Parts: sequence; C-alpha cells; structure tokens
Amino acid sequence: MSTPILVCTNLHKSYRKDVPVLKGFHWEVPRGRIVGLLGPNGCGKSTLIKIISGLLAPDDGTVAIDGELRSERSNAVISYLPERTYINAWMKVEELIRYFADFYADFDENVARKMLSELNIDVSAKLKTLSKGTKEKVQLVMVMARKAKLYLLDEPIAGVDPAARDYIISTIIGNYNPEAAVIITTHLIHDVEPMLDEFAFMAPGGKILLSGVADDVRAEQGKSLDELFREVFKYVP
Amino acid sequence: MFRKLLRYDLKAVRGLWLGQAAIILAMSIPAGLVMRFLNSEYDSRSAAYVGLATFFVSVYVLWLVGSYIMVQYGIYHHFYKNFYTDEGYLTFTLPVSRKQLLFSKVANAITWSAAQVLLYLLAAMIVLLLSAVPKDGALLSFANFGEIGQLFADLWKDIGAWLIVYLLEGLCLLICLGLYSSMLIYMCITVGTLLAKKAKVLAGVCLYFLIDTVVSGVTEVNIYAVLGPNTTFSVPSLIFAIEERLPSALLHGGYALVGLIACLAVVSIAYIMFCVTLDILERKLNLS
Amino acid sequence: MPWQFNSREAVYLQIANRLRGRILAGEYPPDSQIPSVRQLATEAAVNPNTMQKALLYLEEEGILAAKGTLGRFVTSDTEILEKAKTALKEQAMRDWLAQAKSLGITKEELIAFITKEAERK
Repeated sequence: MSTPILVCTNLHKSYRKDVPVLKGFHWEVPRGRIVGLLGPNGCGKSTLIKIISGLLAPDDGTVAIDGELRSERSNAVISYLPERTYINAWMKVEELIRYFADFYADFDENVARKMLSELNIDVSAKLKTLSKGTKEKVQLVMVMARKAKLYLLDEPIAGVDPAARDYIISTIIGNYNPEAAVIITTHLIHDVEPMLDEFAFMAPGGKILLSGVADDVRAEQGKSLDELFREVFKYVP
Repeated sequence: MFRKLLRYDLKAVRGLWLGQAAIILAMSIPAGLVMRFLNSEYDSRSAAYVGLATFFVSVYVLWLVGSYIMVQYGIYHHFYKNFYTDEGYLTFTLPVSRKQLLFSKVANAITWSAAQVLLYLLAAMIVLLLSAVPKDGALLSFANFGEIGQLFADLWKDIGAWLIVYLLEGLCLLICLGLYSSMLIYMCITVGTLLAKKAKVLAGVCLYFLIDTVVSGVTEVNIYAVLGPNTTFSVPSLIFAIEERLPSALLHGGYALVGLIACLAVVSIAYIMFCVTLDILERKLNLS
Repeated sequence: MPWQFNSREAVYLQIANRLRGRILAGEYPPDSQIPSVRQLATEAAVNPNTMQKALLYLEEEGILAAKGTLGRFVTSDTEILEKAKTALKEQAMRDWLAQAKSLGITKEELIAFITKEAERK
C-alpha cells in the first residue's frame, strides 16, 4: 500500500472562540484518486482546503502531504485553484506563465500555452482586461499545467459556461495521473459525479458524515450521488 | 528561490521608480542652469526673471520631495497588494517560506530607498556642475562648498582617520534606520490588516504613529540625559572633563563604540519587528 | 459531450452497456483496436478508473480482449459477438413486451400491429 497523498489528523480550527469550524477532523486521500469533497455552505470545506494549501494555519492537528509534514516545500507538489479570481491587474497572461515557470519546477509551459490557445485566450492580453470567466479559465490552465501530486480544485466549474465546463472536465480527466490525487469541491454535483472515484460528505462542524466509492452509491442505493446529497443535507422547513 | 522573489518585488516598483527618476534627471538640467542664473550677477531689470527662476527651483525641490513620497508609497502599496489582497493566494502558496517572502520585501524597500538616495546625489551633482559659479575665489552654488571643504579639512587635521570611521558609521546608521523604518511600516500594515476588518489602513497608520511617538519619546529622553543642560554634574560636562584627560584614541574609540551600539540597537528593534511580523504571517494570516 | 447516466445502475455497467452496443452495432468491428482508457474516459467525461472497470467487465464477458502493451481489441470470436447481439435483441424485446403488458396490450394486438408495420415498409 503506497502512502496516501493526504493525511489530515485531528485538525482543529476556529475563527471565533467557541465556534469551531473544524473539530478533530480526520481524513485520508489515497494516490490516483479523484475525490469529491461535498457539503453545504459553511461546513468547513474552504477552511480545510486553505489549511491543506498552507494559506491558513490550523489551531491544532497536522496535515501530511505524501508522507511529509506540510511545509512550504509541500507547495511545490500542491496545485491549488482557489474559488476566487486572484489574478488581478498586475501582469499579462504571458508574464503569469513566466511567473509559474519560475517558481514551479513541475509547471509545463507548453501544455499551458496549448490549453490557452484551445480556449482562445490571447497570451499577450493584460489580465486586467479579461472577463471574470476568462480569468477563471486562465487560473485553471495554470493549475492544470502543473504535474503536481495533489490538485486542490475549489469550485472549478462554477463560474463558467457549459462549453468551458466540458473542457475543464475533460482536462481534469485527461490529466489523470495514478501517482497524484485530485480533490474537487463543488456544488454542481451532477456535473462532477461521473468524474469522481470517491466522495466525502462534510457536515457543518467539519466532520466527514459519509464517504465511499462514488459509483457504489448507484449500485447499493439506487440513487445518484446528487440525489443522495440532497437526501442527506435536506433542509427541513 | 529568494533571488526570484526579489526579482519580482523589484520589478513591481521599477516602473514607478524609473518614471520619477527620469523626470528628476530631466528637471535637474534646467534646474542647474536656472540656479546658475540665480548665482551670477544680475541687475534689477531681471527681477521678474528672478521670480520665475525661484519658482522653478521651488517646483523642482517640491518634485524631489514628492517623488520620494511616491516611491515610498509604491514600495508599501506593493507589499500590501502582494500579501493582503487576492494576490496573496498566489504569494502564500509559492514553495517559499514566509521568512523568505518577508525578507525579500525588506530587501526591496532598502534597495529602492538606497537607489533614491543615489538618485538625489546624482541630481545634486548635475545641478552643482551646471550651477557652480566662481565667486570671491571659490566655487559657489546652492551651498557654500568652499566653507564645507574647509570644514572637512579642519576636521581631518583634528581627528585624522577617525573622521572616516565616523562617516562610515553615519552611513551604517542611515542604513540601519532605513531597515528600522521600513520594517516598522511593514509591521504596522500587517497588524492593521489583522486588527480591523474595515479600517485596516487607519489602524495601521495609527499604530505607526503610536510606535513612532513612543520610540521618539524614549530616544529624546535618552538624548536629553546624555546631552542635557550643561550643569556641573550633567553627562556632557563629565564628558568635557574626561575629554581633556583621555588619550584621543580612547575617546574617539568610545564615540565610535557608542555609534556602533546605536546601530545595533536600531537593528535589534528592526529584527524584533521582523519576528513579530513573521509570526503573524505564519500563524494568524487569513485571507478573506 | 459528456455521456448521461441514470441514477439506477452503477455507472461502470452503464458504460459497459453503451460500449457493447457500439461494438455490436459495428462501430468497432471484430479484431479492431478500441481507443485507450484515457481517450474513452475523456470522451465520456468519466473517471478513468470507472472506464477501466467497464472495460474489464467487457473483457470478462469476452467481448474485449486485452493484448498487453498493444491495447484493447474487440474479440475476433464472432460467435461471442453473435451471442451477445442476440442477447441484446432479446433483452430489448423483453423490455418492450413488459412495457406492452403494463399498458394492457394483448398478444393479438401486438402481432396484428407488427404485421401491419412490416407490410408498410
């Protein structure tokens, strides 16, 4: 059994006193898996992703990436796509490519350029002038052009049109690497379902409520993952 | 990795710096010529020209001051943007330590501030060369270089090589103060973003003035203690008393040591602020 | 375009059915090579492991044969394919009959309808 790509042990995080967003959170993600981290708003998904990517320090507990305790070195093998657009003003697409090539050894410039041209994005365009949807596509290209060990995709298809969604999904699938893992958080479960190996339902308070192999849900319960989610997280009026 | 970080930080301010530098240098030439006009003999008929010339020189000086403020603003604005806006998502997921990130910012501030000082020296030289006019047997420009030269010559006669030591220490102290002030501003910006959700800038500015007042106060108290009113038992009179009896080497050695201690004290405070800022970055950072 | 799946059956089985249908319809002739797991997964917009599971299922059925590094091929055994085709047809007819029964269509009505439709062609 090879080491899991991600091991979260006993993570605690509160933003305000007595309001824990994560409480004793445990989770493991094996290699070669595409995992859906699903849960209602405020369940702690984004907090968890930020802790894994190093943007946030947990109050307690540890994160291990590929067997090593999380540090800035882990960032070299983690490719993170945040929900918000972080590329603002500042540079042209071309310069962003240079930036990623400079800091990430696993960044493949040719793949990035190919994807940008497939998406009809002009490399000499100023990031400032791009539409929100185009910025999100650029961000995604940068993330997927890296040969990382762990991809953290926070709502990768939410803000883009259906054609772009298809492109993004096929990119994620085509990029599949049995040595790496992909964690996707999304509300568009129906669109993402067929892409997943495994799923994890996260409840507010930061606990994994339910997890398993995505395809078994249909076999065992005669429901799609989307339908199961709606059942588990139903809002009772 | 650090070199790459610094390269990008430098690039962020480069455009602004080069722009204002070009204007300064471009203005220095007419400024020098105008000052030459002001220095030379003129009769009362060109009074209007004198007024215009003085006005131009004032604008030049104002621009010198304003451009310094602009460069400083550029440095700290880049710091804020790179760390505490959405750009932070890129910055803090790089495979570099927070220490390297912060250190690169400090190096960035020092570099551009030093460059600005050198720029001013260059501008001063241009103005000097263009405006120096012989008067009463000596060169005269915006300062009386004859007198200044004489002052240095006298000092050299009095204390010899110690003059060089003092000048170097002065330079060192300037650099240390530069480190201190940039680190202070970085820390205040950081604490500001931590404390206030809405009024981050205000919080940072208030903190800056608070710390600055405290530090100034403490320093002034000490300076007053050392150089206070010249009574029989004050430190200055003691120094004067000792001065005459101590061999010159020991005395100057003592002064040099005091200068060194001052540098170390300033750097230590800067280091403490660095550690505080680093701790916040490592443990308390939370991008929206 | 991503393939659509129903909620009732495991996705890998639905994929296997669809591929079987394509093979039996002649889209992948006997002894021809089918696209790689990655290509099929990308086309269907499904997880490569799921696609792999579906292909293994078809291998077990005998419809596909893996030839090591050369890839996967449709079997050259036409007998297996014929049997599968027959099974597919029979299943389709059985489903159709079940639906007819649930609507209360009688055997006589069915036979009369089929005869009339066949004459029209």
